Amino acid sequence: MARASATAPSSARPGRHEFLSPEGLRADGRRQAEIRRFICKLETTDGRADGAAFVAQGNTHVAAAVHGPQDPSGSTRKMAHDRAIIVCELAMAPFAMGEWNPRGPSDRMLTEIAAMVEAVFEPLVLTHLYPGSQIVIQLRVAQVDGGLRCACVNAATLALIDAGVAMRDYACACTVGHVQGTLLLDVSAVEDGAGAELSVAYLPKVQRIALTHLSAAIPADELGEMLDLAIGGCKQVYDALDGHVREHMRLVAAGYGGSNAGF
Amino acid sequence: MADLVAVPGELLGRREDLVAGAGAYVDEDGGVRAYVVGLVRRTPLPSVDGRTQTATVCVDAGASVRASLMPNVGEIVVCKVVRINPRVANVEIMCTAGGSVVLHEPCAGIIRKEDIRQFDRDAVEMFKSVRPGDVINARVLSLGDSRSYVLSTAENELGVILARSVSGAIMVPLTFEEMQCPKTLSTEFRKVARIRDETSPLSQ
Repeated sequence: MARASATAPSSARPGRHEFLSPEGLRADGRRQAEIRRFICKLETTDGRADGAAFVAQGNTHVAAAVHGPQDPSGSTRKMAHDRAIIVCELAMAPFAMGEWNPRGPSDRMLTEIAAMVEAVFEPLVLTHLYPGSQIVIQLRVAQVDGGLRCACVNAATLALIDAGVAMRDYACACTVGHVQGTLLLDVSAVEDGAGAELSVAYLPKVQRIALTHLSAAIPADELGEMLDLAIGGCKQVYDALDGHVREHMRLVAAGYGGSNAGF
Repeated sequence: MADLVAVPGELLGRREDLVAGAGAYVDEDGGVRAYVVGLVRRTPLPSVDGRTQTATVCVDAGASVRASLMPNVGEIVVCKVVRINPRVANVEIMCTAGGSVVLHEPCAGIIRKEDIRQFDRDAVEMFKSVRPGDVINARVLSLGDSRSYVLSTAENELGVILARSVSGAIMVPLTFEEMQCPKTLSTEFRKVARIRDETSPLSQ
């Protein structure tokens, strides 16, 4: 009897409304300030795009392709004569959110995230180097499990690097959830649905914040702590991105005989 | 090798010691940083006062990055005629910067009838000036509307540089407005460019 009462209420597995167990573990076994499994891949292009990349943050999967800098003629968008314009096209698979939900190009959530990606990369890309042209970032979402904005930013960063577009820095993004008084890094959809979510895009080398987005109200005095946690998550993302880019570079260089011939 | 590779945002040095070359920029705090992935090359510069040593730093991304330069106003481009009508010729711009930069994908341009040649421009007949398939040199007049650049061939050095006759042979320029087919010896009208080349009969 004593055994049973000891195991029943204080089990290591968090309860239904409990997102951090007494041992400090979350429902998926992560600790509070731990990001999900981060997988990325460069140069996934089929040859038509100038740069392409794939990012999986946990179960959020985003593929990105970059076209350009290219001639904007033919598109109805405005062009600038002194710099490049950045256009983000975001599409989501109908099955991405778990239930069948086809979203058209005018879907509010998608256009909002696309506008956010444009806002992040507009100042980050050295657009004045490509006057009168456009850079198109195409994002395809296969699966969503929280942190969609961040996965989009991270995938776009990699694809722009693969395309060789001039950028001041990486943009690394990560979310922080404020769930029942506890702060959780890189929230999944289950954790996100229970509280507020702060998305932060961070420029790790320049050490600036490129974007913050808060999905719901939180106590103001906790914002600083959330930002610190998010920047820590962005640095973890940056380590993964940077490690992959350098590894990719090494392979490309080796493929060209290890000399400078490939560059 | 690893430390020779730079990624975007990587700090390469200070503005006092380095000059940012291709692939590098100077941030607002005076740090010289890379803006593409590539190999870092430092070229020492001659010292001004004999003591301080400066160098130019370039990040060479090589073939993986293409210089997609859109045509600028005033420069000479190489284009191919796509279709013509009595008022305007539609072309595809293939090379910019006088033919030295090949565009990744061609962009559209137009040549209006009045911009074909300098003299007697009202009497220009489009069908006697360019034909679809001709390769021409043209100057960018303006960036035009959102669809196409506006070009001009109203200079002696501008106009058709390569054209095929009706029978498919590459024609030889005869005069500034005629080209001859070497196969059938028939002549066709073109707005011929004077090419600065000793082997061309037109430049003599």
